[in-house]
Amino acid sequence: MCETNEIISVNPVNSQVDLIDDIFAAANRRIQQLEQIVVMSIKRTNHNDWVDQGGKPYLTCSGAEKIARLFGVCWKNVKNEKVISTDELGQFYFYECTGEFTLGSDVITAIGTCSQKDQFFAKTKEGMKPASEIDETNIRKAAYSNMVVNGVTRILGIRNLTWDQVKAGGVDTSQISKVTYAKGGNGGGRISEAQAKHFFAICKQSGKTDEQIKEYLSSTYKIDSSKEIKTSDYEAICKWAEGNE
Amino acid sequence: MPYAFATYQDASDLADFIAQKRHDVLNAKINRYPKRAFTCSDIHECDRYMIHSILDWDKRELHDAGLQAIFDAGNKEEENVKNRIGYELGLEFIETQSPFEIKNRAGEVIASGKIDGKILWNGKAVPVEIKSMNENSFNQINSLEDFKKKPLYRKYLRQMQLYLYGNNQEAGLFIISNFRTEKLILVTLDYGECESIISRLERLWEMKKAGTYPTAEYKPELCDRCPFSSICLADVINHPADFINNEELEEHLMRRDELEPLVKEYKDLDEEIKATFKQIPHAFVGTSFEIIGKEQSRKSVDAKAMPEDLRKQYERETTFWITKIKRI
Repeated sequence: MCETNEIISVNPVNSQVDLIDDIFAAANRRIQQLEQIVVMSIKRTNHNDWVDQGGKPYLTCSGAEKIARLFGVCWKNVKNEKVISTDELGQFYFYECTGEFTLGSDVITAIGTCSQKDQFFAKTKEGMKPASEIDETNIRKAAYSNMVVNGVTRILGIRNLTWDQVKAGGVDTSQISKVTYAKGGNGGGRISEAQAKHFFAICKQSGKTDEQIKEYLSSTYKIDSSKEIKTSDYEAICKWAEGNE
Repeated sequence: MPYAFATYQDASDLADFIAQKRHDVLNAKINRYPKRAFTCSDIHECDRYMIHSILDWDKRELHDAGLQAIFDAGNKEEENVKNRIGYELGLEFIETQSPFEIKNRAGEVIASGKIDGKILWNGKAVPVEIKSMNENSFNQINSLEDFKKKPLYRKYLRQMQLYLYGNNQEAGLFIISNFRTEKLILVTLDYGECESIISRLERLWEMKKAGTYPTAEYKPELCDRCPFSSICLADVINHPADFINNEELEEHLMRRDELEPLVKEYKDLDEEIKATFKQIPHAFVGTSFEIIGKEQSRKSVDAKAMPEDLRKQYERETTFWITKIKRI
């Protein structure tokens, strides 16, 4: 029976080694938990919740919302403000969306932005679209979506995932959309897969080696893969491949 | 040969041209329009959405080319259905896309809409609303009750009820199409439901006139795809799932998973064998199995055969918990 004046004896923490052991044990538990969070998060998503952006997996807002519901990530006090700015080309605007994200007792502030100059919305073959041709609601919505993705991935520690992790989570990566503009006519985009194959066929016909192709693309266009060839450069690159240039 | 042979580059260029042009054509159709009153086909379950839809019509997020293609296909399918049901069956569609309005007590138009048309039948005009949908959705809808299962389908119900109410019609038809065949679902005017929709619209109309918004309330099934989410900015409250680390429980679930196909096999075999021995009172199979059968009878109440008012007297609602187990 417990009495008020009972003396409770405890083993003294007599060395720093014990303390370090405790820290290691806690860190190991934390690592295991984080690994579990990554696996569970990816399993919650499907191929529609990811895009291939510049060769890396990028979680979309729909995926982030699914994951948020799984772990109980909440957000509040959201503000989405239009900010006017200038650069050497003149005035432009961007939206900055901020919100307070919570997971249990953890709280972070996440930011999402999207600019009038965002290449997805504004770029064309001829350059940037004028402001009147850009739908401002898209910019505002993208800032909000970016905030959600940033907030959810940061608070759960699931940023910078690899394709191997996404595949291991059961997502069919072959069905994931790529952010390219070859078929969309947005200009400044990348060539299609068919065009890349055609380019290789020309190279093989003219006897160019893989090393030569890689060296040429890297030194002339600063790219590592034929997938990154811009539609605007395609003709010139094919001429080189034929050996005419 | 009148034309030259096409090269790989020609075919590739043509593919790029078609993709780009199609995208451009779809994008050119995407637009938003000012609204003065609520739209009967878009009576959303979120009060705040309803106010945004009028006061912030210009800030509505535009849908994408993919959704526009679905809308286009739906419009085209409406014509196809009218052809299949109308001209091929000798029925006449009249008053297609006829507009209707709902007014409040002050005589203000608070909602407006259109119905796809009416079919002339025995000298009377039966209102019809055509809805095309993908195969999965089509298979899920077999009765009016099924319309109540999803927010989008519930909007269809409200649209039809408002139409029947606004035109003093007793009943109408939903024609559901999966782009090949149709299902016909009868809808009768429900005064209670109409009163509820209209009193809600009247309340929201007053808020719209005052320029006030209802408090934002996060509901994932409504908010995650809302075109006003970037201006509504509702606080998002999610409740986490329970994460249980219990090896024994996990092993039991694994074992359950392993046994699941065997259960089906057992049931199929059991059914097949018992069907074989129906009407056979006694038999042996080889030297290992004896099979005994006999006819039995039991008494039961055929609830379906009871008059509906009598059956309703004995109806009672019970609550129960459904547990679904899914391997991830």
